Amino acid sequence: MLPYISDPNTSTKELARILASVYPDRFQIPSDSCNGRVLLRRTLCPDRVNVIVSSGGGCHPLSYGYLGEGMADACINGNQRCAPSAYDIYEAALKIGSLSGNLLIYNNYMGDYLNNDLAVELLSLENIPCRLCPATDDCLSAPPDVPRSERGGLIGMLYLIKIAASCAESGLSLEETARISRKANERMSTLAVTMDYDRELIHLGAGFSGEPPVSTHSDRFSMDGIADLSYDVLCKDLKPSAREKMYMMVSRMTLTHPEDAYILAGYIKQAAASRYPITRINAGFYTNLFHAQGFLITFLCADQELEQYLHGSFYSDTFSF
Amino acid sequence: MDHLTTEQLQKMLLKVSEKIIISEPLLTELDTIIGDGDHGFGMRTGFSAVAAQLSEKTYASPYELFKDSGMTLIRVMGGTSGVIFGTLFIGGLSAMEGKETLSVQDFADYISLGTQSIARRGRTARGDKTMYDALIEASESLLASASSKESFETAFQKACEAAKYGVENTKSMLSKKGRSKNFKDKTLGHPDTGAVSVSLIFEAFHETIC
Repeated sequence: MLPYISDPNTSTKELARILASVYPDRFQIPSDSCNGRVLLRRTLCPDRVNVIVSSGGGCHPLSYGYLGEGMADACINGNQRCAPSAYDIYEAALKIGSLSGNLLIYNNYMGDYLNNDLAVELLSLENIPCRLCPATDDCLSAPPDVPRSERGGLIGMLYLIKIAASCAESGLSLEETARISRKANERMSTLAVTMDYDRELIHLGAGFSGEPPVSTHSDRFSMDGIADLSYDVLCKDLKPSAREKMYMMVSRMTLTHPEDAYILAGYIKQAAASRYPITRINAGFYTNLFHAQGFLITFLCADQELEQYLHGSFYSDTFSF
Repeated sequence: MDHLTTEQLQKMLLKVSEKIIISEPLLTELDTIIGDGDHGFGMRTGFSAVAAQLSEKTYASPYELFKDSGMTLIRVMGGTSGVIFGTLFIGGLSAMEGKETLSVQDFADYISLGTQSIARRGRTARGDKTMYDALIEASESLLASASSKESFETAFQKACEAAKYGVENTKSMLSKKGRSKNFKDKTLGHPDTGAVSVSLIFEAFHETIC
């Protein structure tokens, strides 16, 4: 993790407050917030399904950066690298007050699951329906024979937020929004690629908390090598069908040059051209989960139904999607 | 005694809070051996807030009392303990809905629903060396007392003994959940700290009523 000058014990709370004051036309925090970690869109939309995103703190721009029209309606970050509190999620949903309900999107880790699951129960006491949509895109976080529900999540939640928001803004019900978002999750995989420049090694599947890589490759230390390797791993995992369109996101890690994310995306697109061509590319910096040299490469296989919710663009202060 | 009023239940929860607060050193010591040492602090923080609330407020029904106390634990504690102990308070509320007093059966149903909720949410079962190992013993004991039409005095005495039995059992288990699972064999011989907290809660129930 990058060192902080600010106090890591209070930085997520401060960040919410400051973001609301820097962008008052875009964001707000509830004036009576208990923990001060809830960030809401300036314009609340209680007449439709809302999308509430939560994650551990310190992974900027995840998830505060994903708030706005076409993306999330509320974001909650926990303390640094700690799951958000169920009460904060509950508070956000109460403040929005949507009786159509809320879809809760989070990365699939125990603390995140427990708190989101409890938030659903607390909100049911207030007659506010909620459904869960955990992101389980980390393709090497569990063995291939283990159900996808055992996987952790990385950055694929960005696609889930976009699809869920599009469903919600189209006026779909909570059940439909949840169904389509979960379907997207089933057809999405992310590969963590980290590099050892000194020994010219490529590691696949290392965890952001220091978990060792699943495999190491000494003969792929080039853009071509990473592109072929990652394309093969992700296609093997997803097994795309001819009826699906491929969407790709390349997110650079904190110690990697920005231009390398775009260049790698170009190489992967080239590697894909003769097989399952890539329809739309996003490249940039979407999370500092990994303080390392490398990339998070996400593929989403979208059928006709998913595609209709992937149109449009979202612009934050740090990236476009 | 075969029914408890809201006022009696409030006194019971205040006793629970006081017991947890004074037990912080014990819980911290146990959790330092096979965990990250924050269980005692978290529990004290949560139950201090509950105690403050119980000293000032009055409640219209058992439902309001337990809901408010559970919400406070969740709001103040956070983390995994906040979720799990909050669930113990919130998970069985449907058993109290619309009731002015609680029978042994009502209370047994309330604890049983909360216990089931914890097992589902925490994806835990008997033998995982968690607070559930003490809770399931106490819950089953309460249900048995309700079936036998026993008084609250007898039901709480047996539930308290059952929870302690559950704590003893955790000593011979290997941790499978939470941070303590990283300590593997070192957890043998030590009780689960969450289970000890459960035992303290039932001890306080028993002491208030008897």
